[in-house]
Formats: sequence, structure tokens, C-alpha cells
Amino acid sequence: MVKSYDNSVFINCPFDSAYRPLFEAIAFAAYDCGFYPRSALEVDDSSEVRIEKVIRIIAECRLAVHDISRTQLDRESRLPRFNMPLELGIFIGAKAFGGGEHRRKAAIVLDTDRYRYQKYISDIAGQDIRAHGRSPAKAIQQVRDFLVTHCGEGVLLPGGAKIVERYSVFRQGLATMCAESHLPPPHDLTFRDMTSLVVAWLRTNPLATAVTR
Amino acid sequence: MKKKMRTIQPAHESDRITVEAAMEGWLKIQGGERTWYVAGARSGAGKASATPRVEKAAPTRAKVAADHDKRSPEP
Repeated sequence: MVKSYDNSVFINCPFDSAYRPLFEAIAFAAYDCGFYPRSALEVDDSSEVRIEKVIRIIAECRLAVHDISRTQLDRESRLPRFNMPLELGIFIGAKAFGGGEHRRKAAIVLDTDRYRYQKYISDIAGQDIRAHGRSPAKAIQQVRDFLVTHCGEGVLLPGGAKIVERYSVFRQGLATMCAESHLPPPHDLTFRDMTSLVVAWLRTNPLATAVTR
Repeated sequence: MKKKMRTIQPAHESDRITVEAAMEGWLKIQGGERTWYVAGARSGAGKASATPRVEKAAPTRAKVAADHDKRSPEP
């Protein structure tokens, strides 16, 4: 798969360990649907200012998955994290003011519940927010249903249940694969290591494309 | 007595794990069997095709890559 503007999906979500199962499930779903997930974690470069990195990746992605579900207050600071709404705003701004190919940008916004956002980010009221209920399987289903509308005419993707099944098989072998490859255990893998293993698994376990009976 | 010093050698480029090497790893974990998942099976109808089909004779690496990249069948 060759990375391009059209098939790149910016994943805007929390990076903490509690969210990690959802993050990895979303990245897997994007790959399995034939897209290329991008994240601020993909390159570790201390010389690049973080917001500039985010802006660069947003500029390179036509599509995005924004998860604004992390509204809890930090235990110590008692303040919420605003990075996800900020990056959603940058994406919407790029679409509105970027011109050219940026006008074709499209995104899905995820939250735990469908209408909860109206209480804390009401400016996006009226938009179709999707709920994942903190379930990786539901997140995969939502991401698949979003991406299928951006595959081009005549393209059929497997259903969400099939991708969930494939993700489950991938996870079952992941710990062994990490050990065999001298990598840290799955919960300590970097985004780059994880996506390399996903790509290798997908190439080893491809979806057959046509069923004619 | 002179103390022996141990140094950790950096990985040679050929020791680095590539996606191709990881593919071999996945195959090894799967017992050398490549699984082909059949897409497009509807629930109820064609249930047999929804079950992963296992092929002992692995297709070539080029075919696997081509199949992965070419999800949409030509009209």
C-alpha cells in the first residue's frame, strides 16, 4: 500500500494506557480497510515542535478519526485534556480555509455516548457524532463504516464483525510475535513497531477479494 | 589481572527486523499456514465462506502483497 493524501487517516485520540486498546483497534481497522493511519506518535523527533508535527500530518491526510471522549479531569491537576478538541478544530479549520484538496477532507468524531458532546463542545452540535462506548469492537465498526464511504465506487469492504474477528486473531498471536522479534510486550510497543507488525500480519492473512458462487 | 571489557554491538543492518521478516514470524507462529479470509460473505447466506480458509501451500510473497494492495476487484 502506497501512502497518499487520499488514503491517509489522521488518528486524533488520547495516548494514555487506558485508551491504548481503542487506539490500536482503530489503527488496525484503518489498515484492514486499505487505508494508512497516521499519528503524532509515528515519528519521534524532538527537534520538531509538536503542534507543527500535528499540523503537518493533518495537511497530509484527507481523512481523520477524532476521539473527543477523554473529558475526565486529571487526578493531580484536576484539569481536563484539551488536545483532542484542539486538533479537531485544526482539522475543521484546514477544511474550511485550506482550499484545494483540503476541501475534500472528511472526518468521523467519536465519543463514548452519542449526544454527550453537546454538554461540553456544543459548537459541533448538529454534526453526526458516533459512539464507541469505550469498546474496541464498536470503535472498529464505526471506523469501518466511515471509511467504506471513502473507498471509491464499486469497492466492498468486509463488515465490522469480520474486521473485529481478524483483529482478535492478530491480538492472540501478538505477544508471541513480540517475543520472537525481540520486541517489548504488546503494551509497551511503540506506534511504529505496532503498525509494522499489523502490516506484516495483514500481508500474511489477506482478505480474498471476490466471492462468486 | 586485566579485566575483560564487554561491549554491546549495535545491530547490523541485516539484523534489523523488516516487515518481510515479521511476515515470516507470523507464518511461523501460525504453523506455516497462511490464512485467507473471504470478504463479502453475508450473514446467513454463504456461511461457509465466512470461515477462514487455511491453505497449506503458501502463495508467493509477491502475490500476497498484490492481493493486499488490490482489494477492489476490477469491474
